[in-house]
Parts: sequence; C-alpha cells; structure tokens
Amino acid sequence: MKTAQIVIGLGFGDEGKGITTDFLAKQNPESIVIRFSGGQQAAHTVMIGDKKHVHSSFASGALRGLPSYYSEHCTIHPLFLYNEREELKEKNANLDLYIHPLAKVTTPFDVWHNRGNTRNIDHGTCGKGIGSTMKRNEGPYKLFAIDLIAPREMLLEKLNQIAYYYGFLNESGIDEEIQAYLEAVDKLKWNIVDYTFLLKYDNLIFEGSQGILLDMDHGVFPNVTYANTTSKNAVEICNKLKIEDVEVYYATRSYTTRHGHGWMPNEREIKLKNNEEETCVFNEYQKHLRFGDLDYDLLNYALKLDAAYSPMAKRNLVVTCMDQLEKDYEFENLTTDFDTIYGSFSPDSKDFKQITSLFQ
Amino acid sequence: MGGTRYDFGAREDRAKKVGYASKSASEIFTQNALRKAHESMNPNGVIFREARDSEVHPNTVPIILGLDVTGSMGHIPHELIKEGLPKLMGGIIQGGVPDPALLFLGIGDHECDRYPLQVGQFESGDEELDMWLTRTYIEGGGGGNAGESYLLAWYFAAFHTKTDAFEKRGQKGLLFTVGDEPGLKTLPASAIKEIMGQGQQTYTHLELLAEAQKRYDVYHISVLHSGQAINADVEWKELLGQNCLSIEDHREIPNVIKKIICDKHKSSGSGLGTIPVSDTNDKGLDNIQML
Repeated sequence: MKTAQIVIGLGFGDEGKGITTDFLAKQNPESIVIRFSGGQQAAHTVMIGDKKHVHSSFASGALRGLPSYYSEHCTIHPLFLYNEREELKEKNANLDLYIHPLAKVTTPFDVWHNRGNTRNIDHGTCGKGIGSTMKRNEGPYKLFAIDLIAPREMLLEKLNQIAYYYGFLNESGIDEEIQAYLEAVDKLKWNIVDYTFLLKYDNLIFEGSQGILLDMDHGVFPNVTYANTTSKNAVEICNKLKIEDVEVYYATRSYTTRHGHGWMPNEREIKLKNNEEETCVFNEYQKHLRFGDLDYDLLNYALKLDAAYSPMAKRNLVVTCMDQLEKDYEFENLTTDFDTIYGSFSPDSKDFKQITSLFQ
Repeated sequence: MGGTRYDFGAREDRAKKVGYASKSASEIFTQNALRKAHESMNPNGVIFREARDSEVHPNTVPIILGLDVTGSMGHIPHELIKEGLPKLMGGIIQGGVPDPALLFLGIGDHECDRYPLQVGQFESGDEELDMWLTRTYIEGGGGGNAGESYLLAWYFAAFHTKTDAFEKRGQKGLLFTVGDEPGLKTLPASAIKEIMGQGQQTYTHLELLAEAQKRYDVYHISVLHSGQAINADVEWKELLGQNCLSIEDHREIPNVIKKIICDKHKSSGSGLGTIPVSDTNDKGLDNIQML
C-alpha cells in the first residue's frame, strides 16, 4: 500500500521543515520529495554531518539523495534553479528534479516587479518574485513549466508579453538578464511530468513551504504569502493518487519566530544557545528574524485548522531547536492527540528524539 | 452625489466650528494618523464615478482635480481645505458656471507608494467636497524614481467616469493634475490590475492622454518651487503646450482653475454648463450606452 508523509510548518515559517523532511527521507530512502506550495523563496536547511545545504528550488531530500518533484501549486525560476543545481552537484546530491506541466514559472520581470514595489516589501516579500508570478498567472499573461519545452518562438513571445504586462517597453539593459535566463533554460534538462509519474514511488514525502500562519486564506492580511500552506494541496494530490495512508508531521520551533513584517504575538527578545547554524538571517527585504515565546493557543489554532484540510490523516508533532532554549515545555496544553512527538536537539536530523511519553 | 449646492455661508460656519484654519494637517486629514487610505477612496473595484445632472444642478460641469499627495505636494490639500476650496467653487459659480461637480483624486507613485490612487466622487455641495478632500490620505511618499503617476488620473478619467455633460450635451469636462514632478511614461497592466482590480493592457502616457482627451480637456498645473520642478515643467509644456499652467505659489491653484473654467465658459459659443442651442435630440449613437 502506498504511503505519504506531509511536512507542515505550524507558524510563520522557519520552523524546521527542512530538517523534518530530511528525517523522513533518511527513513524512507526510496521516496520522492514533493513540493506542494511556494517556490524558490524556500530556505530549508538540511545538515548531514559536515555537509549542509539550504534547499530552495530543490526539495529537502536532495542532499540525502532523493529526487525532487514540483507540483502545479509551486513556482520555479530557471536561473535560481540552475544556480542551486550547480551547488548541489558539488555536494554530490541527487539532481533529479521533475516538474508538473502546470507549475508556474517566474521571469526576471516578476522579480523586478516584486522588488520594485513598496507594497510588496511592506507585506514581507523576500524579493524572489513569487507573489508577482502568482498574481500575473491570475490574468492572461501566464507562464507554465510546459512552456519551457514549448517551441522556442512561443516561449519568447510569451516572455515578450510578460514584459509588456509589466510595462517594459523597448527598454535597453533588460536583454542581458533575459539572455542569462534563457541560457539557464537551455542548460537544464526539463523533466516535465504530471502526477501519474508519482505512482512509480511507494512512499511520497510532501514538503510544505512557509507556515500555516502565513497561509493566503488564514494568515493576517496583507502580511501573508500567496500560497496554501496548509496540507490542502498535498491531500488533494494524495486523493488524486488514491493514497489513503497519510501522516502529517507538524513542525514548530521550541519558540516562535517570524521573518518579515506583520502581526506576531508575544514578540520579545529571547536568549538562545547552540544556534550558530541559524540560516534565517538578516536580509534587505525582510530584515531581522523576530522572536517570541511559544504560543500554545496559536499552535492549537493552527492544528485544528489544518485538520479541516486533512481529516483522515494521522498526526505527529516535531519540535525543533529544543537544544537552544532552557525551558519547561507545556505540550500538555495542546488539544490535538499525536501519534508521536519528536524533539530535535541539533541541526542534524540524527539528533531527533522521540519524546512522546513525556507529554502524552 | 451632486444633489446639493455649494453654500459659502454654511461652509464658513462649519470651517470655523471645525477649526480648519487653526488645525494642523494631521488633525484635519485623519487618515494620516492611521497611515492608510480611507476604504471609500480605494479605487479597487470601482467601475464608474458619475457626474449626473439633477434638479438642483441641471447642467453639471464635471471637473476632476488630481492632487499629487506625495512629498512636498502634500500641503496643497491642507491649503485647499483652509481657504482654497471656497475660493475655487465660489469663483467658478460667480464666474457664471452654476453647476460645477468636482471630483478629487489623490495621486502618488504606482512604483513606490502604497496608495498611488485615491478617488472621491463628483460633488457640488460644500460639505461633501470637504469630506472627500479631508478623507484623502497624504501619504507623502514619492521618491526613488523620476516622476509621479499623474497618468493614473488620466486612466481613471478615461475609463472610470461617466458624465451627463458628455453623454447628454457632448461637452467635455475638465481634468487638472497638480504637481511638481515629471509624469511617468508608462502605466503597466500589472500596476493597473493591482490598483483597480482589473486591467490587461499597458499604456504609454501618450495613449492615456489621448484617451482622457476624448472626454476631458486635460490640464496640468506645474508648481515651480524647486529646480527639479522647473525641469519637469519643460517636459509638461512639451506634452500639453498651453494646457500646462505654471505657478510659483501653490495658493494660486484655485484662481488658475477658476479662470480656465470661466474663460472656457465665456468663449465657447454655447457656454459651458448651459444647454447648447443646437438640436439636442440628434446625437446619433453617441448617447447610447454600448454594453
């Protein structure tokens, strides 16, 4: 019987979806890892011994040797993807990447628009063009993964139209960037395959993006992401493939974080240790990572919400960064029953510990 | 909209009571404290703003005033509410045009500002006009790029207004933008979609100007208070010729607008805001709404 595990962030992102995905990849080495929301903005860190990679356009099984799949709900940017592929090549990772024909493709125009628009920056963009791509794809100027393998004239015409949509009319200086973009399109081998391809695998690992509290329908507008970050999309794909044995792994840090503007409860400085490997650092668009205490009410909210999208699934909890804080946890405040609760005690998934009995 | 008359006495009493003369801009423009535009001025989803005739105003003259609310232009709405508005409306009415209907637009920059376009409604009454003007959020941003999105005013006038003046009488309205920067040269479909909630076509400034000029006489009032503004003025003159009015003191704005409207009224054979003598029944297809 085919099985699936879905990794979901319970907060505002940066909960440890990378390490959790790697934990599952290690136990299920014959799986494929599927991205089902977001895109090239992901920064999912996996550390295996002294090897480390921040996965973005590849799924977080790549370093462990698993192939990646991008579903129709995701965006891809060929140049970012190419650059990451080069990095991963040096780390002897699995470079196999399969993409659904209807995955949305980001262009340099989307990225410029994303970075040049003050409103986007206010809303907490990370400047990788995802929001612009999703919005553009709601209108007539669409670009899908399948278009990357369409006859070149057609792709060029579509890019021309997207330039027009953003108001780039006969401007000099954009040809060079488009050139690099098209070169990346040429250099990559595009495996464009629909969901039937996934039937080859007995186990699917679904890697979420961001977190439930940034979901486009459930986060606090306007500081939300343009994606369904709950298990909604993953469960839909499982249903299409008739996979019934589904487990959700909910990831949270042992404290609350938020990277970017917008509402967050009980924000305050907290004292951390062992966090030298933190990859979520200051950037120009989102500024500093923000911290706060773990909010059990908010966790209960996110868990109950997600269950609405995945009613039949078994549920597990993963609490990352437990080594970074000396604190008594109050997981007995959680109203969801879990099959298993794990804690992570280093940036390497080998230090996951089962802590179920402590709290249930 | 448009069912009330401009009442100077009432305006004066109210202005005193509210304390327009003594209050600071941030006390009058209450959206400034909230740092966001008033929801009623959000153009997203607005199909049309209409200037219709009524019993009180049988011959409306639609006037659009697009105020740059960025940077140093942000004090102009304050000046208007203190004393400019009665001067403007009073001047027009005393000049022989009894039915002006005025629509305020707040103009920013579609690349840099959070609220690049704010829209009021066509109004003739003093209280309503005060309301829309003071609801405007003076974002005060601007910046980065070389220009403001004055062409949003042209876009809105061209595609999102309907007037009885044009539909019934074949008379153009008047569209004024006020600012101190050059206009941007392109309005991308992406920006229109984001601001209006719909839009698939990218326009150049020339295309939009031509569209707006179908139903409005288009003017720009160039406020020459900096070197940059003087450079911008050259561009505006090239684009609009004598329809670019240059002033050094922004307090002249009401006089300039009043003069244009009243001159136009006098010079046009039939008179602006009066029923043309020609046969008003025969307007061919122009009067039929094409849906």
